Amino acid sequence: MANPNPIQVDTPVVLTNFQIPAANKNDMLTLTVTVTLTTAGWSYVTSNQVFLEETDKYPAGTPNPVKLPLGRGIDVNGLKLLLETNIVLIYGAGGNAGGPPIFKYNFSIDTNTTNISSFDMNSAGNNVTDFNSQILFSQL
Amino acid sequence: MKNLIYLALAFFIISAGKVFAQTAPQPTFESLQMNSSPAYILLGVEPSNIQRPTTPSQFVAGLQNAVVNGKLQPNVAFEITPYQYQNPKDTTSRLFYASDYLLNKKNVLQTIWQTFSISLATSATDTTVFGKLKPGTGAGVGFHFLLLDGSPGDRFKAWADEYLQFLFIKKIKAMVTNSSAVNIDNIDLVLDNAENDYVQYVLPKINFNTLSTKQVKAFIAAYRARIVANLQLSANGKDRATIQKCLESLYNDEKTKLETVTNALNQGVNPLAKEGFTLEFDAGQAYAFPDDNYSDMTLAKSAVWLSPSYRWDLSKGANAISLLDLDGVMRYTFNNTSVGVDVANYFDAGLKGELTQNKWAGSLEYVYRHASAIPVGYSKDYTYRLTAGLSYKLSDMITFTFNFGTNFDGNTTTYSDPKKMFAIGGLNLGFLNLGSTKN
Repeated sequence: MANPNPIQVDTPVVLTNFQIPAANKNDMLTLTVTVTLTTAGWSYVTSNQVFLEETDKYPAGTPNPVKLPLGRGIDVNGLKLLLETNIVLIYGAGGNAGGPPIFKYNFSIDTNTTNISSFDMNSAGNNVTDFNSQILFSQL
Repeated sequence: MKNLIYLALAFFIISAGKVFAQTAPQPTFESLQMNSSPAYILLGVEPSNIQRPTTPSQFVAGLQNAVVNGKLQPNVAFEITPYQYQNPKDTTSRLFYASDYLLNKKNVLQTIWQTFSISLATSATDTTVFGKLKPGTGAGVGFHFLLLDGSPGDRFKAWADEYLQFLFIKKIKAMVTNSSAVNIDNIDLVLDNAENDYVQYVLPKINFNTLSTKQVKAFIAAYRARIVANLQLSANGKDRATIQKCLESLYNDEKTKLETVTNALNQGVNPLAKEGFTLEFDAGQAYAFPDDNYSDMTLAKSAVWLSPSYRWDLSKGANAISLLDLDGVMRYTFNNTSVGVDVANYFDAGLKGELTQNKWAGSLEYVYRHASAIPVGYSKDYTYRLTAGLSYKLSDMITFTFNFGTNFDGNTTTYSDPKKMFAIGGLNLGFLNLGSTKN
């Protein structure tokens, strides 16, 4: 059964269960965040807060984490992961009259070889958008 | 001459080959102005003698027209910035690279290295500019770099200042949100950790830090005082849920402010243009190939110059670009007297005012030239150039330019000639611009 999507857009986190398959209990889990912005002329600034319980796993926050190690399945069992990504859109040419474009946000939990779960969410059409996720790892 | 132009074209297309297929950078105002290239200036084919310094591109090439020996001739130039090649950006990414607009420099030496550009230009040689040398082909080589590179505009600074403060409150909020503790007994410890992480990890990764160390300390102290004061007012200041609620409220306030300044940045014209004082150093040499013979290559002239400039952004949030530039130049030119380029060296000092309104730009330029020696039979050791210019940007690649006025009388032996009017119009074609944009 697929893990439920925990991403909240511009609203506080909702703790969501995340099941790790039994086959991955000894695998290193990694986190990857992807932003897909295709509208010409726009670029973005990103900041990510990644906390495993009270441990800051990505203190710098930018750019988006790619295959950020979180821990083995059995080691993160029962721990909360917080991922709060803030995206600010910049229109470098200036003079934008049409409002900010919609873009796609994705984060995935993977092992070195397989994807465990991947979640998508579209932005709400603001210049500043928060994508807030909090998951509770559960090793099957 | 044509062969040399084709050869130059082939050379820089090949040299740019590895980045040729990359995504084209976002066009911006002034994106393809090449005529400030030191190589052009020394060949004497630039329509305007004073140019505002610009942030360099990884690779930029351009074509323009000039009157050479009474005929309108095309000239070609290109410019490469080694730093941009060593530190190429990922052009497939949509991440905002502030260093496209604002140099991520720490000191003057870094500014010099990041802006050091080498240029090469070719043109037919004009017998007025090159004295007694026979007409043929000219090649200019030069380099320039910035010593001072201006400052961000008000809207960008307002945005960046707010964003940097927003990141601090975001860090504190995340720390508390993921805590499992029912109570947080020591909020000062949380704030200390957040401050430490912010200063040690967050700020160094931001390449548009517009705040001074003093300003950072001041806003952090203000936030800390505000948080502590809010918690002291609540019934249970140690309850994690209460603290989280307090931080959410602060965070939402800052997010609203950030949305407002971001909207102002995106809606305003020319949002990333720099303002203030810039200072550029240039040097170059011009070689002549009389009768187009390679074996007769002659060093005709060398020059060094400083170009100070100050820009005011008059648009200030309006819906039209409005810029006022005051540019200057101080240049010393060493002429090769042994081959008859001239009998003296030149010292030039000039001033130019330029007003830009959207796609139009008008300018007035005055350059005084003093000769190091007076030729036999002449009484004056000075001349001047007074030029008015008008340009219209047809697109980011094509600018129509028109200049008229009085030029230098060529060389010292013609100083006493009546000043002659000149008028030149044409298109400047920028056909390649890889890497950073100019502003």
